[in-house]
Amino acid sequence: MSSLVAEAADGDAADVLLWARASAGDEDAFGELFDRHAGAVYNFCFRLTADWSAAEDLMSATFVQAWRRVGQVRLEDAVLPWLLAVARNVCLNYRRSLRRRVAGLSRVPALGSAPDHADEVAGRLDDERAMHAVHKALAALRDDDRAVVDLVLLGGLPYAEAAAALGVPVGTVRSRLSRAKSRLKDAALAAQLDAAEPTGLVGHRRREGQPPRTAEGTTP
Amino acid sequence: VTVPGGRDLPPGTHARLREQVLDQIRRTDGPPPSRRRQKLVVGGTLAALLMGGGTVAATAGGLAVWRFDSGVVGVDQNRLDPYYKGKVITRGELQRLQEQGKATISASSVEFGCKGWIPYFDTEAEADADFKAYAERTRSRGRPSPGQVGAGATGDPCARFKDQPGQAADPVEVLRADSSVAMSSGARHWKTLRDVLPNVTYTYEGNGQQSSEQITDSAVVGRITHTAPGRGMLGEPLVTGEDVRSRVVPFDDPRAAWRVLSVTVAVSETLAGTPVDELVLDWYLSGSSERGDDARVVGQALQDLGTVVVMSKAWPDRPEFVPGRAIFELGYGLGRVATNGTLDFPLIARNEAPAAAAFQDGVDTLSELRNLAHQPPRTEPA
Repeated sequence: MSSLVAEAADGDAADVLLWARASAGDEDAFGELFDRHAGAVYNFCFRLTADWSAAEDLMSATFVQAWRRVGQVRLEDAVLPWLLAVARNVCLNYRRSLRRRVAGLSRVPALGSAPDHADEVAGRLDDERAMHAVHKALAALRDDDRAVVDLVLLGGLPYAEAAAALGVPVGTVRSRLSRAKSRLKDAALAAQLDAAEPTGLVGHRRREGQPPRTAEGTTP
Repeated sequence: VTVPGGRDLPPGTHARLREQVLDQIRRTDGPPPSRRRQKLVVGGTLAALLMGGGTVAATAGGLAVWRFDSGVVGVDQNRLDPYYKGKVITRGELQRLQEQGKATISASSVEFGCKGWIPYFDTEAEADADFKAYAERTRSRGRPSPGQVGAGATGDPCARFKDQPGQAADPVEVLRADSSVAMSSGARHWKTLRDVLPNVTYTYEGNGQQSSEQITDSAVVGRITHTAPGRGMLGEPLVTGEDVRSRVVPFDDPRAAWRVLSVTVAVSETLAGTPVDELVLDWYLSGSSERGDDARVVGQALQDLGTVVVMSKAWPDRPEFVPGRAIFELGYGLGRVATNGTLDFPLIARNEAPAAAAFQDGVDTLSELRNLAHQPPRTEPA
């Protein structure tokens, strides 16, 4: 068991300490990191794939990838930016494989769909439609600009955290966002990009106002 | 077009996916590469964090509570003691509780960290209720705002809790929770305190030979001033042919079946036996971990007992025994002396309470015990 935990003004130090524990093989600490960030990664994966179901699997895959690298990566700041960078790679790989799979399936007759009219399901379908539209609008961006837009606009990261995740200066993030905005034909999306700084749009950052807590079934 | 707002994971999905991820990393992926160097990495990482941040602004009384330069307060749970139902318990006791399905939920906060505890609860509901109360207390004290604990904040992170005396752990309860205290041989030829003092020698007849033995060879008054992890012991002697090898292993050896706490008593008065200024004794820890958590908790509880009477005996000089000195039957050999000279033996296990009452047999003060110890030696058949 456990362990290092911090009660933090913004939770970042708790992340760092949990990360240190996880680096040492503490699965409970890693589980706590999952609790803290699963929601943010889930929403980020949805925004990259426009598919809520896929987002669940990709979120899980992101954490498995993170575990594989946890012993090799030393973090001195928030964990979420790094997780979102991993999630982005996972989702990009998924999209590439999906394109190949869809190309194969296109020869198979489509099954008839039976939509569920429950509000929740309808809302999720609306989200998916909206995200497809966002993706269409973002398709015009260069890859390096798109990476910044993904993290800032879709991942909700402040510029500084996006810069840390991508390994570039904050100024580069600003210039890439500026360039991306000039290329975006959609005014509403450009406005959202403007509003993203400094804290981003996504609400699923982390639970706040609650001391971190672990559930442990075994003796340390 | 606009980016849709965030959604929570569907009900039950979070727990299911969490379990899937943890299951996969346990079964398929195994530990991260650094796990084989766990102790090194933990120590190294922590040290790097502290040094890299520039950062230990304060620690509290040896507890691992500190403040980063950013104002964030960190707590090292490794250095906190389990706290359950209003008292500090040993890790061994925690394990026993968890085997019964209790104390499975833990929590942490700076306040508890400053007190040196990590509280455990039976249910989430209990934990939530407790933390609601904690949040109320924190609010009523005027919790520092993020701005106050922002960049450059300094000072002792435990200062705001110092005007609140913590609920001190009852050393007797801590020691009672350590099951080794409850050990007693069962088959006894002694009944009362006066039977076990060094001035009584018992004789035995066996195999046509007569032998004699004292139950204790030392009775002293003093204070336990220092404790430290001693040695680990394998469960059985290592016997090869006629060679009986030592059962001793290092305290942190995971093979150890039990572990020994080394207890130092600063002697203020020798009641019986060779006069000494100091005694070093073995205290057997039950359910101890190789990390020494119980050694710390039990050691502190022993020091918190105050003035004590200790009746002890050196181990026989035989190869299979490790040289040392043990407190007689633990709870029976360690009494507490109140400031008014009253004597009691609170560590005798509760299930032996009738025997405990009879054990003192009217010897209720240090003065009465001193008189008994100074009486002429006597020999009795066992």
